[in-house]
Amino acid sequence: MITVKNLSKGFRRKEVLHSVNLRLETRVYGLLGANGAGKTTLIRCLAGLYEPRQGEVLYNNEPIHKSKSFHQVLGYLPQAFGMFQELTLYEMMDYICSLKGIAKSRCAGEITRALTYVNLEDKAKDRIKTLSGGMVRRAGIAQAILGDPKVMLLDEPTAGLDPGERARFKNTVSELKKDRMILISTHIVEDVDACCQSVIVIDEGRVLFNESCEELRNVALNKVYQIKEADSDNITGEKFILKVSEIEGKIYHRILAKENQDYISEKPTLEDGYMYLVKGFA
Amino acid sequence: MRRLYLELKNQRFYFFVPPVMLFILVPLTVLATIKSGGGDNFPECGTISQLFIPSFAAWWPLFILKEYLNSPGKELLFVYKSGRDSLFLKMIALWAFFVLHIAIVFIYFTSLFDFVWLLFIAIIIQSMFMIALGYFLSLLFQNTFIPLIINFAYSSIFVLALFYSPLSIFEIGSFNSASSLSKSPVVAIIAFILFYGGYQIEKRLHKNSI
Repeated sequence: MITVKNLSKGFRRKEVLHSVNLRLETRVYGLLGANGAGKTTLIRCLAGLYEPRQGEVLYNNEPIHKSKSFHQVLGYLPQAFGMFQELTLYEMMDYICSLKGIAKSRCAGEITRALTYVNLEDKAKDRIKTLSGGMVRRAGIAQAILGDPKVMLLDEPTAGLDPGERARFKNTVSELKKDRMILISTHIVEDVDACCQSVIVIDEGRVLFNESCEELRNVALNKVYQIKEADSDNITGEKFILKVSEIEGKIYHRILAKENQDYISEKPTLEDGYMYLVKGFA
Repeated sequence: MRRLYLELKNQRFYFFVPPVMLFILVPLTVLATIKSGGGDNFPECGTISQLFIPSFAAWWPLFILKEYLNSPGKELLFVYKSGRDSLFLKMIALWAFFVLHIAIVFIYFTSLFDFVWLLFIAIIIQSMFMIALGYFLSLLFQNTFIPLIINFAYSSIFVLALFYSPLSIFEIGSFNSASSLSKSPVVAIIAFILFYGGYQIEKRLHKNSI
């Protein structure tokens, strides 16, 4: 569906993406990376907002800037969303319908469908500026699903959402994922675990990993140990303390070790696998 | 047109500032000037019109450009290429809309003066210049506040203090012959150049829109 070939992007002298190669099919991908890793730059390149310094992005084997169909099948949620503060939610959605080239006769139905998906149908007549931060975020998701797009690029969709809204978002993704490519950029590993089928890990502009969630967990297999604080110094080789916890009055360290240890290893989580990669242990 | 309508609607109360200026402040000021001068002071009325009308020409364009340059999530206005707007064409449409408002004011002026159409031409060219300047500077600075300040500062300084300066775009005289429009052709050419420069920056903006 989408192929990224040797993509590099920089701003002035700073190189943000380095020769990124990806192949994205109809499934839900989580794009994981620390702040400044290049997630937003990659998403903007995929959306055609940035012109790459080198390489290209193809949609069905055609460069996206030449593809007539790409922008008709695209749903995009920017990291920050809150334009047209004085318009009502319905008017803002109507504006996006017009931008997406959705026929006027279909707009009303599309807007109602999208607002129902994010549970904002009762806020249609409210001005954007009167909505809460979480509602604006959901409005952003609603505009992205207008027109039933086949490619959805969501840049930190759960940022600023409360737990209930995050759960609703995950349900929305589960309902939407059929026959679509959805790429969700985030640094919240839980969100990826809950709603993504594949994970792309990016660090300092380089793709470190592009496999299933299970594969990412397996990266840290036999590398995660829960040991008493006093035994922490017995770990050989490079290590990273993932978590410090107190159990029955004793301090325990959850440790990520580069080498296998003589302790009984813990079942790794997605976060363990992610940390193992970004700490350069792999 | 639907999008332009919504963009103007998004301005809410600010949308009404140019109509209030054109339909209330300018006619009242002109009437007050006529009364104080015994009806024989069309040049002064021309100066008043040039002070108040062109300076508000860039009002709507700058508020629309603000969404494209400074609003959170502005990428959305560039990402969906099927409906992506040319800001340049939007500026021209807004100029035409503003000219329509000026025309209404000048229809009223015909009941007061004999030779208003030359002043009308001078003012619509000055309005085009102001919009072109606002468009160019906004894209250059990626900001709409500075052009708004420059716009009003220019109009105020050159109408009130430096009217005779060669840098002034404003016309002086009784507007009773074509020779009264000595500066207008040059102002129109500069406006075209500013539009062209702005359009070149706009094309780069569409390639790397953030």
